[in-house]
Amino acid sequence: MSDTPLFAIIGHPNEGKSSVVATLTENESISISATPGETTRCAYYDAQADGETVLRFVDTPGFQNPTRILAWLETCELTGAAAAQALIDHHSGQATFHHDCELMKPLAQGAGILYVVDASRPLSQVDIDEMEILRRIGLPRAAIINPKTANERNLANWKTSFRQHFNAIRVFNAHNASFTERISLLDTIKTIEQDWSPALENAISALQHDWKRRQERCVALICELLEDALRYSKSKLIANESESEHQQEILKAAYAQGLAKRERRIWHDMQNLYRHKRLKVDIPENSLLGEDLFSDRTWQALGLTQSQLAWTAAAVGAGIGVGLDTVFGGLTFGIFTATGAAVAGGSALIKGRELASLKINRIPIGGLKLSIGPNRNEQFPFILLDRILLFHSIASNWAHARQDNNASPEDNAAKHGATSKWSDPQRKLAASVFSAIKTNKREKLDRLYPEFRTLLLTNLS
Amino acid sequence: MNPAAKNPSSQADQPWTLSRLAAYEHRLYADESLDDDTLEERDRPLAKTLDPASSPSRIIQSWLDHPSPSSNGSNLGPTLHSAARLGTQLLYLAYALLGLGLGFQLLKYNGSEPVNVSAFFGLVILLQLLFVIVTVLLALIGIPQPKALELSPGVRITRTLTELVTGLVARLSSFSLDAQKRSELNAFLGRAKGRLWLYQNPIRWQSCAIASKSGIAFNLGICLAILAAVTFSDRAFGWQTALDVSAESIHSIVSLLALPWAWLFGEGQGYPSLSQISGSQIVLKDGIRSLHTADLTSWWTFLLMGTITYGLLPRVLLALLSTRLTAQSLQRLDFSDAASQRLLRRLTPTQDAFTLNTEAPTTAYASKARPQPTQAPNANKLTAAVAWIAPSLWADQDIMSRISQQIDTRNINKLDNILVADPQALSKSLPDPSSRLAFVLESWLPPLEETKQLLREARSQVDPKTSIDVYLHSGDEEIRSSDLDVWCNAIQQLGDPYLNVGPISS
Repeated sequence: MSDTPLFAIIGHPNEGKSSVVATLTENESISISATPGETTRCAYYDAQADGETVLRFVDTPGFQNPTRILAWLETCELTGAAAAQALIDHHSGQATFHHDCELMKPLAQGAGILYVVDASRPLSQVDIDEMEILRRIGLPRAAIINPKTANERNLANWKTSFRQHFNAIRVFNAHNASFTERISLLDTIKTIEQDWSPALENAISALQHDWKRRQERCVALICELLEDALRYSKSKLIANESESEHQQEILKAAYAQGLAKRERRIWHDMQNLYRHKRLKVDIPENSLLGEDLFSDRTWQALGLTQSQLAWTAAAVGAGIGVGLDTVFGGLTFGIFTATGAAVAGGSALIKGRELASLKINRIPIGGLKLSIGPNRNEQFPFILLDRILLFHSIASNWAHARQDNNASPEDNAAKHGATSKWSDPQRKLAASVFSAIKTNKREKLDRLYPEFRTLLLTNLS
Repeated sequence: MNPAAKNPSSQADQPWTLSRLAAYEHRLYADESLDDDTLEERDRPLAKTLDPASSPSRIIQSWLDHPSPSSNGSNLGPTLHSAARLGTQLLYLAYALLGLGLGFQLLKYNGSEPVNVSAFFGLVILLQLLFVIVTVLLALIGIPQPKALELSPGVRITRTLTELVTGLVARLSSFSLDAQKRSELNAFLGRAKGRLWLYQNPIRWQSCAIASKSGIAFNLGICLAILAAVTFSDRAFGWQTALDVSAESIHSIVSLLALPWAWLFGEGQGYPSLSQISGSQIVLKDGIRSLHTADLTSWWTFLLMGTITYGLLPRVLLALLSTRLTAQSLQRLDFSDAASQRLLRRLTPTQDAFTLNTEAPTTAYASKARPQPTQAPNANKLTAAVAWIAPSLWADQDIMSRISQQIDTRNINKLDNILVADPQALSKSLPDPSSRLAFVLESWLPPLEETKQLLREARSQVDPKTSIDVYLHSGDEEIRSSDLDVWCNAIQQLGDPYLNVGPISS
């Protein structure tokens, strides 16, 4: 038998067992339905970290004959996996007990039990019977409260009953659970059997390491995108000036599409990192992420405020001036510093929401060259960064059991426009990084990147 | 405008036909997607014109003749009737052609070998004679006709095939359909099973009538083949055997078989005489050249009359009988099933909702068109001979007090584990098999297999037409429509048209 801990997710039909498995194993391919009876056979799913299986979960059908099974168990002297196997042997071949035999299969293998209930509904006799069945079988077990509604009126009754039958209890909303909540659940499960504790500790460490690796990869992807987008330009040769106006529009559209494509690519990569194959990249229209990168709404809601932007640009401009003043040994009395700050700050205020400046150059051998980009707007990288952070917060917190695809920034309002909540030094650091990217100063970038990556990682956590 | 719609109550009862019944079922099925308020509003104008004292059959006929807005005014009945008539006519034609083809094949004559009377006799007359004997014997020993039909290989094969197909569909659906679609499919199959059970007698007799008429067409085809063969061509008939059977023995059998028509066509005319039988015996080594032509042609009248007497006439009698019994069984339909009762309550609102029929269901038969929770007025209590209440509801005094106010029963019990684990114990609480039963269960719990088993067992212990009501209680909250849908589908899957499910007010 494998050393990987095995847990059977057991319960009444339609209590959210498949949802719990889907979220714990980050597997969105598991069929989840509001109609009872979706799961008709046992299905084994692995929770993986860095490509290694660290935990195994079994999705099972719901109890169909708890009263009759309990009556049979009362006559059975066996316990543990042997009792489960005896139950299967006795009832196999009876069509009406098919689901019950299926759900007993992992217990016959000695799996730990995670009993899932929707505690927003009242406790009933069959629930007590099911708990009693699991108590009689005697394998290590925990109760997971997966509330479907906010109703907590019945919670006290449930908890009283749980205490009589289970070693641990945990509330876990499979449709909203974040990574932290998943780890907390595993911490709870760890306590139900001392022998499994080391294996579960290792599994938790591996999952946390894997999660950190994903975040680091996301940071790398963000830096790559910023470099790519801030240096992105597009040009086109045209024969004569008569078609210039029309071609300018085409070039502008192609430039905007190029940026959007780069943005979509990072979204797609992030989705893959968080194992969301089905989460739609086509964000709903009412969402900020559904807005165009250069739309009014995007520029109003994201990025820095005008004053933040001016002060940040001034700080960076002043930084450059300080360098010049230093070169002159202080003889300039800070004139370069003051001028740099004023010019950069003023420039940031004056520039509006422009796509990028468009240039027309005459080619000596004949014809014209239209070129657009790179975008020099100080606000643009902050907006781009905000959108990426916003998407990341959705993708990383999206429970795999949730299958409605209604991703929207409201799902994590706290991250809405993250850069505007940064401190002045943090914004200055970011602006310096953007400036270094635009001016292609590799050494400066390499110097700034470690701190900038730490800043991004903090924002992703 | 349909004249029936003007004054439906004045219309005389139309005879029910299976096509009309199918149209009725179609209308009921279509109504299931509509809510109760919509249905009541739609049927209110018609209900005002109906006489509540009319028979259920007549009220339903009026409703059926009243154009349904959901079907754009079209009535499915005549269409179904025409389609069914065309289908059966094509079937009869096919059987007639089959008889004709078989007749020509058996009467094939190439000039050297005469038509083998034994083969024709065995295949056409003897088999049909056996059918007549079996039918008469079954009638004599008193097996009810529908059950006698069940003994027939055709019915058995059909039943086995149906079970195989439904089993296969259920198995395939568990792999390929999600829970919702699987539940709907099983509910549909269950409903079909329930309705087939409800109309089993007319369906059986109608099947018997169609089979008999097909037999008539087949035998007519055979007779036509015989007449055509002897009228338009020369045919030699003979008999042969390798056994030691004398012509006298054959003559005795032939005379016996020819008794029914011997008074009309005597020996030598209606059936061959001894000398003709001797003269038509074929000995392969001698050939037929030595035999007389008169002897060789003497058999055709026997074959024709045998086909008419043992093939055609019994089929005609059976067709007449089964057509009459089909009509009788259709007119005997009492429309006491849950779906019909719900419709009748809607069409006769002046009557007390729960006293229209003492055995009438009080809630929808597994219908999406759900009744509103009963308001428990003192006069309108739900009735049940015995009621069982789910333990969690039983334990709550407030809930139990409200349930007791709504159900009129002297025998109210807790649905304890012993009963669920061993549903046969239900019989201890039953006063008699006609006792109407009620189960009050938690709406929030999806129906389990053991609950369905309990309901099946309850049905086995009461009469097939006794109502069993499942009332869903949602504790202190309003019942969720999704829960009710789940229950409706589950109950329909049981295929019991007298099993009802619906909410009881919280």
